[in-house]
Amino acid sequence: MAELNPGPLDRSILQEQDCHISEVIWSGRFIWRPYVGFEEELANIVDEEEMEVFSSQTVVVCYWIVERHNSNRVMKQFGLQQIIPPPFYGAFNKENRVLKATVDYSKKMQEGIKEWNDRKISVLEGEVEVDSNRQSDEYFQWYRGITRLRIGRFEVVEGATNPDLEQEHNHTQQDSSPSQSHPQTNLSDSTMMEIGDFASHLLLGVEDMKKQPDKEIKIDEFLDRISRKIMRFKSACASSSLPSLRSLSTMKKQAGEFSQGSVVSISSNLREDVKNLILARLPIRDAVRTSILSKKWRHNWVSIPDIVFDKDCFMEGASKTEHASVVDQVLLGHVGPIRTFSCTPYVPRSSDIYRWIPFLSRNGIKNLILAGNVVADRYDVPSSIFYCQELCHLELSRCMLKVPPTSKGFQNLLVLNLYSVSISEDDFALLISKCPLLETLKLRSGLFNVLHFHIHAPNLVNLEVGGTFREFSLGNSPLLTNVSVSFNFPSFNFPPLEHLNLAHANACSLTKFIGCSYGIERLTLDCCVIQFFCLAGVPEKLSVTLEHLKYLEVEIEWNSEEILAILCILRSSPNLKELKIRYGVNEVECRFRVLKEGAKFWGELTQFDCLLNHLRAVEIIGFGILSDLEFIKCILSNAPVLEKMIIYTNEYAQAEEVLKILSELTQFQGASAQARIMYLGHYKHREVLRS
Amino acid sequence: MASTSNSTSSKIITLRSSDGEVFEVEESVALESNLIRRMMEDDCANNIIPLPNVTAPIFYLVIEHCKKHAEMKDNKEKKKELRSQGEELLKSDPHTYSNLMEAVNYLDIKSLMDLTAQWLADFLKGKSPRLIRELLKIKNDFTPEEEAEILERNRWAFD
Repeated sequence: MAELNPGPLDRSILQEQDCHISEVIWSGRFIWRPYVGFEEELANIVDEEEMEVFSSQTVVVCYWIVERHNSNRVMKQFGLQQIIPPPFYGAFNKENRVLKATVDYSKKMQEGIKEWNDRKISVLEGEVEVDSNRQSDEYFQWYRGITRLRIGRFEVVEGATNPDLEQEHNHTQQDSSPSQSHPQTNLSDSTMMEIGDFASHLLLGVEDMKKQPDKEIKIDEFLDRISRKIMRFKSACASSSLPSLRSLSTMKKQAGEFSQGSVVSISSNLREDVKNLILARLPIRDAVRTSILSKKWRHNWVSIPDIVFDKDCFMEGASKTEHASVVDQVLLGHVGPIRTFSCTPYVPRSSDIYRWIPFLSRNGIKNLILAGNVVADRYDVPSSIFYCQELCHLELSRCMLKVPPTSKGFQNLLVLNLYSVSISEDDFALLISKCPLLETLKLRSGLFNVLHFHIHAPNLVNLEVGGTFREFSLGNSPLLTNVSVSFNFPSFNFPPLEHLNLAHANACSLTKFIGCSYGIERLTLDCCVIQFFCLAGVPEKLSVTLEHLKYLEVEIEWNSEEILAILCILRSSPNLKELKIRYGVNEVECRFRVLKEGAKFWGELTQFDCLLNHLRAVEIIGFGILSDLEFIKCILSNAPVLEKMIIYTNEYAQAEEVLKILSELTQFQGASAQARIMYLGHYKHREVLRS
Repeated sequence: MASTSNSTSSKIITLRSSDGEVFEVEESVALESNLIRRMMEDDCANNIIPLPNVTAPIFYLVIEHCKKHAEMKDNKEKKKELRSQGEELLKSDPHTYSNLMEAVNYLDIKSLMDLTAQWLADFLKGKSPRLIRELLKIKNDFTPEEEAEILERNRWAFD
């Protein structure tokens, strides 16, 4: 290797380092590859072949000194992405490093010399770094794990076993440090007071914790340290009086408030009615907390008509008994009519419900929402619920509902949502028939005992059904406008679908499903539901014309039979404006089976004979197979006023196929001149978009 | 800063703010205010309707929000957007907020009363009583004993 001339000493390099090296790096002034741009100069002194050896992970032998060149630690300098490197190799053969001049080094250090001779083998390899300022998370995670990042004095809390405590500790440290070094901070007086107050709470909390007998010694030390800090801090800022003692977790919440840092004043004397407007919009916990504001506010909350228990109202991890006692306290303290009672964070016990419902029914409850969306045991709904004759809105989940034959039902009910409610078929029919005003009905999964849906509700406007059923039909609901149905495939304890087909041939056809609901404006047939209806055979046209249908959303899961069913709906809905087709995203394997029949499907077997004279917008989701293109083309050539078509491809679709599809589509001449076709990439998972 | 309409079909109402600025507002928008509705029923509509309690910038805000509110019917996303705007206003300019709320109260506009109340409720949610006192300029007139009693009575809400 030719000798390198270091050249004259360049002091500017040293002078440039006016700040800490890390600052230079993160501000982007640092050059990861300092020799870039000097290639020519280097080439004068080094062979081109030798250049790559710079990155070799070898030893550097110089007389009797052997050093390892750990180039895998500084991969960025060689224009490669930094990976997590293997263990660090220290100096080579340490004990032999300093040897007497008489020793034959070529023998003594054969291993090292051999490695140096083979240096080309260990030239660094890796992926080329595109943006040298980019940091790899993985690498940094590893780096932080093996390094102590902070420079200077930093107290490490050893054995702080409680992560919460550690957080508290850090927080105090951050808060208190400015006051130690600069007593004149620019915090506002009120903020200082708040912090002082907060600190005293913390102090009290610490005292409280110390009293507990089973503390560990290390925690003890840690607590001591905190209390010393707080004492110092407290003396720094004149603190105000200490009210009550609160737990550490509350303080954490308050700490969040301070960090928002917005202390503003609304200079208005809130009128009583405005006050009530605000209170009615607060969750019950916040409403109750207003009782401590002042004498004027003390009793305002007790008459708010809407009692809403959200997740903040209940302590995490508390038992159902504790939850129930909170609800009991609020109901006991409440005065006046209760319009809304909503409890959604958990599913109550039967015994609690038996106590609350009679109370609510006496207070004229209108909206009752007991829809805890968690897996829990089903509770029994007391029959006293039918005494709540003013009910307009009822949501129940995870319960068992029995309808006494003598009950009056709900004469005023407008909205009924049942999630995973166990009810018998007869009771369900009875319930619906006794809710004469029902406008919105939502049924979701697990109406275990109802397999035959015959929904006859004369005032129904919105219907949403999801679950498993054998039969589905709509009675005469002239006002019905929005319908959404999804079908969960039968699970193991359900008779197989083929079985259904035999037993109930023609039982659940599309025709029967639509019935005479000619007023439908929006129809969503999700999740296998079309397939289900196909079992009974697909008619050419529905028995009614869906004159008002403006929006149709369908999911195609498996086969061309479903397309026939969609055609059937399209033929019967002359005024359709929007069409959304979703291809079963998760069933890509099955979809490939369609490929085979797809080629023959259009033309020979099926004619696309629907007039889409009013169709303006189409959305295709999860598109990814070339044979589906034919269907899209048919839509395009039959929609003269189409304005836009949005396409998402299936995430499993291959890039080539997508390109092919898109190029075919852009070249295709549709019936509408102004139609724009927009491709918006792969369709993200269903749940993500829906939320 | 007059808010005018280019549609000729609807009637235009002329209003004057406390600082003398004259606004021309579509009748449909103006009727959102029960105060203006009552005044019109009392046959004051031919002249300019004076609004002695509302300044021009605030009235401009009121009208903007009335329009937005009318637009967002049945649009959940816009509703969300409008709801989240309150927090920004309350954080950045509480003075304007309280003026707006007073004006809405005075003009008796139901939809905006709900909206402004919702804003404040969202803002107060989760805040400590001490902070709320400061925000709403409420003086704590309890004795420590009384305060302790209230805390004890509904411990669950204060923990």
